[in-house]
Amino acid sequence: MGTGPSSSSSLGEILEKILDKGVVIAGDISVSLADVELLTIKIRLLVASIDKAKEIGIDWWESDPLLSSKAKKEQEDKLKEENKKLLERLERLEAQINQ
Amino acid sequence: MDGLGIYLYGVIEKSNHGFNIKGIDGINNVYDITYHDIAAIVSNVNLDEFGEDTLREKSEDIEWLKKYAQIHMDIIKEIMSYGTFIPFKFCTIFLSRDNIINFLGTNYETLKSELARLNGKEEWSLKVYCDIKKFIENQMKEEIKKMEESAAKKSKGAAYFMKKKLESDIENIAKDKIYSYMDQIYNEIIKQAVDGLKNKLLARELTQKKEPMFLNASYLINKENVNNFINLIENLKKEYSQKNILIEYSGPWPLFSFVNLTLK
Repeated sequence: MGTGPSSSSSLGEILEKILDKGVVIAGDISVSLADVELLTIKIRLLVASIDKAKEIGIDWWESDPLLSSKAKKEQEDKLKEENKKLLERLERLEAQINQ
Repeated sequence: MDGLGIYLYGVIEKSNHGFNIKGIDGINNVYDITYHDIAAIVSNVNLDEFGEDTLREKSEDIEWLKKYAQIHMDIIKEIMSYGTFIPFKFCTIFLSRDNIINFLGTNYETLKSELARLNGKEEWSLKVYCDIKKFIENQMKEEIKKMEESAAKKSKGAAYFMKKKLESDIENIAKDKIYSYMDQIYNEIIKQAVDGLKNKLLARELTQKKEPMFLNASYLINKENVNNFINLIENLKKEYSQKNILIEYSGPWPLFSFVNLTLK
């Protein structure tokens, strides 16, 4: 299979080569397939339907708090935790001053 | 013979290889159609599945594209282990064996000299990514310091607007810096290559990476020089990771980027 040391051939890499490259000849059947740019736009539109995109293995937005409620919740939890710690620290400091 | 198409993967040097590969439809085997000392590598397909109308419809379907692009790639990667191979465009389909032999005959000299030119060479990919925020945080401390100092001298309101302006200035300076690193990387690596090519940058939808892509290059490498090429990239990879720049490479790929043919 002639694969190299770090041949993490992502979907993008494959589509890029398959759709945009290779020798073009007029076979007996002519099809105009989407190029990568058009495909990117299509995927972008598809992202509106998240489940669909997840199904085909595209899920980078899951960790983006702007787009994912899960990531947002994780971030909120983190903030709450920080807030709690800060309050505790403040109380401790105030207690020390008042002594 | 109604409903039969011949799917053409590309052209290979010499032939009479017995291929043990399933074709694009997963049913018919890959075989060769020889003309003198070159051969078209093909497999039969059913036109119900790979005819003009069906393909026009299917090409709108991302899942279909994903599936068949992967199969097509796997097949040609295997074919290229048999010899110098010129890959043709995805879904190049003929209706008869005679038409393919005609095609080979008409373009014999051109194909033959291109195969000779590409003999002993491999195509490799280089993709470079950078998280701009991290780059600014770690690589532009001085600029940030200056920005904060000059903002500190202003009133609160003026400082806010000034900071906004300076932030966007810093981002632009960062991008310029990153792109000049990309030129350095590209130019350093091309010293080990026969040829190189900068491709369009891919969007995150396709790379599935958090960091945006800043360089997408292909290199044509002499086989005996592949080790030097890899060593060089490994060194650059270490060097640039300290600058928050992520270098990735992969190969050998079929010779997609460096085939230079005008065929009839």
